[in-house]
Amino acid sequence: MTWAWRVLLWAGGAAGLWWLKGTLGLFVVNLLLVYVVVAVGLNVLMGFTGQISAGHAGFLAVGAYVAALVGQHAPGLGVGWALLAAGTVSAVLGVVIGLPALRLAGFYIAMATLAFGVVVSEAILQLDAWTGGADGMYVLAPTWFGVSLETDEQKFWLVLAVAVLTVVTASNLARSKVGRALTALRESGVAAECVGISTPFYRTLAFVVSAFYTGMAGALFAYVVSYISPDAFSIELSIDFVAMVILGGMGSIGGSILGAALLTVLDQYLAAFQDFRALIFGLAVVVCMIALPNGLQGLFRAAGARLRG
Amino acid sequence: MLALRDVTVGYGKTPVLRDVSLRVDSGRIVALLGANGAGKTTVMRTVMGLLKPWSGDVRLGARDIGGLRTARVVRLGIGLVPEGREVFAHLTVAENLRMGAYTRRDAAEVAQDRERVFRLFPVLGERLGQRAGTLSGGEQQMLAIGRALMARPRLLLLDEPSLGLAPLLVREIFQVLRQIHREGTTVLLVEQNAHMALQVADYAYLLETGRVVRHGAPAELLEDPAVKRAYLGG
Amino acid sequence: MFWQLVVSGLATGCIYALVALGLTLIYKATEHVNFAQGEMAMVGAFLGYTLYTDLHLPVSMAVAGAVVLSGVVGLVIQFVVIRPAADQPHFNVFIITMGLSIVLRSLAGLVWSHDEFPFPGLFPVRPVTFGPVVVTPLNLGTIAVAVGIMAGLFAFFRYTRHGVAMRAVCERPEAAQLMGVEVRRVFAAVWVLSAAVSGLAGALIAPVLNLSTHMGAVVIPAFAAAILGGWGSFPGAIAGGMALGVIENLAGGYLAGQIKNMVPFLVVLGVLVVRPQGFLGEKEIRKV
Repeated sequence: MTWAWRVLLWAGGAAGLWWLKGTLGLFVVNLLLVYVVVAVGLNVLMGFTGQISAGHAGFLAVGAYVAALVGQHAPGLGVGWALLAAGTVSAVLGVVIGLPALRLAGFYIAMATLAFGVVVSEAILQLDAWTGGADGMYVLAPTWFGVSLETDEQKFWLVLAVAVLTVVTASNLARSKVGRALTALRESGVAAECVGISTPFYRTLAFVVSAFYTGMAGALFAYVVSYISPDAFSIELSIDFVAMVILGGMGSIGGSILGAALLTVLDQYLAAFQDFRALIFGLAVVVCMIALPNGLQGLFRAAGARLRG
Repeated sequence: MLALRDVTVGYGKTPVLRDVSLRVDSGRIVALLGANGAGKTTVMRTVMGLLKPWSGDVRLGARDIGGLRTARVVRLGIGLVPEGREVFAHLTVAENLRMGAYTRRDAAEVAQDRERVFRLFPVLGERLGQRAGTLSGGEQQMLAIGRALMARPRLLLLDEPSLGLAPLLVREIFQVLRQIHREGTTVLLVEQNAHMALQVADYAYLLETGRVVRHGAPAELLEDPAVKRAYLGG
Repeated sequence: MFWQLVVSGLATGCIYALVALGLTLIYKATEHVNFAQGEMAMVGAFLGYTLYTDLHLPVSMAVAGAVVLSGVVGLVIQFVVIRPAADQPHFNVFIITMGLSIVLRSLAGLVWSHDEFPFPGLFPVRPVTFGPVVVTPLNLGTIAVAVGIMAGLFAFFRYTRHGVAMRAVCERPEAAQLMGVEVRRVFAAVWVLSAAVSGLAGALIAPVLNLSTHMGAVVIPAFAAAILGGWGSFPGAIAGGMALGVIENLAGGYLAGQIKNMVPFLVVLGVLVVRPQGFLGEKEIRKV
């Protein structure tokens, strides 16, 4: 991609956010950016290594509760440290899930992560002394060098910064040696091993990176919505994340951004019609997988190739 | 009976056979010889409808069967003993034979054919309840042939029946093949073991990189210096 | 107390086993993992409910109708959703069935709403005493029906021409084709059979759980059961289902109430960490 294209894409993204702010409000824009971080993080796992996680809401919950607890027990701590803590705790759990997942293939990983997501929700319920159980907990605003980020606009700049950082690091990762190793793993684990790529190391790494991003996103989520409870992190949310990645196109970071944006906006318009919302999400996944296995990104790429002749 | 005319076919975009023509007349044993990768198995797969010819036609009698679904081809009376035997390892010997007769409803005659298979391969009769996966390689080959015979095919295709078998077993299998032929079945035989094949065949085709390069009676091919050099180790 | 928990656990376990059998059927034949199996059971139960309340059929007829209509639903799904994706990697088909589960749940919500409905049982719930054990005919009947269906399936696969052909297709689709089997038709038939079995499971569990669109969650314990017994093994699915039902019930009876809901997930995590091939499964060999 040329520099001109890239500038154009970023500018288009900025214009899109501006427009969304006008129509749906800054809160939705913030939420959208949080989901962009999750989708990009999940894509590191799904797109690069072909391991599906049906439990990323679990990592999101872990990050959210870590941020809330940090805010409660260490209110002076800067937002950078809080994000790091949320990402790290989540990444550690990523290792815990990723290591046994090494011995598993395909859908077993989906089942294991699905179970992980549910166990996290249940654990939050059981640890009610800290988490407030089903009552949930309020999240104090994060602080940036002593300044409390209270308003949606302040939070917007925080979330935007993290989202941009996520996208940039993930694209660099994709182009790096690590990214190529991960892609080789998706094509064929055994064959990749034959050319000296250590399967266990990279597969675990993908889990850790993905969990780290999602944990950070969880902290941001907590700040944006400012009240969290276990039922916010359901299996359905995990599957929505999968839908974002699929719709955008597995393995494409631009696609994940698009998928997250599209489904978040759709969600707002269909909020009053829960069943139609679910129906459209589900149909989007089904139709996309049948007709567009490379997602919207693949469609655009094909259209672009045709335009250029 | 079976005739391929100018058949071109392959996988993906790569052709494996180019303009292959061959005939198998009723009551004959025809051998198809060639090195690994010459396209012998592709001929079999095309006849069976597992591959659709890109051009040219495949005829059974007057009927064009090119690209017909495999299940239809089987019902028209062609049976294939595939390379590598492909017996159903988790099914018993009896169940494998039952699968062979899948297309047939004439229970009494099926029972007769079962007896015939036991006559040809007595060892199968002793192993009826055993899972096919537990049989030896030679017994599996016998089961694969027996299974194909259960459909009572008019034309039997055999893909490398001697592959991986001890010489003594190979002779036994070829004897049975002659017997099957004598009892009225036309045979198209793919073999790398050219010596054995030319001993039983009435006619033979030689494939090289997807083309028919020689054909004729076994006696002629045995004299052909190119054939001698390449396939008969002389 | 103990035996009572075991018997009612077995009844639930039989239902898990039926759904797990449905999963295994599809997996063995096509290597596809159907995440929407629970939703198929749920839709089946709702269809039975509609036959019972709107067409005023007797309960037994309504349940039988649910089984048949579920089979039709399975056929439609196979045709519309699975067949067009048949050439894609199994991973993609798995994701498709995830989408399908959302579609089925929301469609059911649109048609029948997300409320809970009392579902008529095939058998009375008034308890009967057998020595020290007090059981309900509902539990015993569920076990009897499930075991009957399993025996029927066993006989079908063992003794009938189509059953043997299905096993052959599971093992070597191409060789089965060479026997004259229409493999695509068998794949469709497998979905019909699997959906019908799941529909029966839905109609059997609905009187216990109350009928609602959330019933599709039964796919989770079914997966847990199949994984516990050994993924891809029919006896494993049955044994795993029954074991899971009993474990769950005992955990609910002797430990804190909440633990019961966690059992399937803990079993999945535990089995996958300790013995991924399950207890009756064969070790999976990964190919290039």
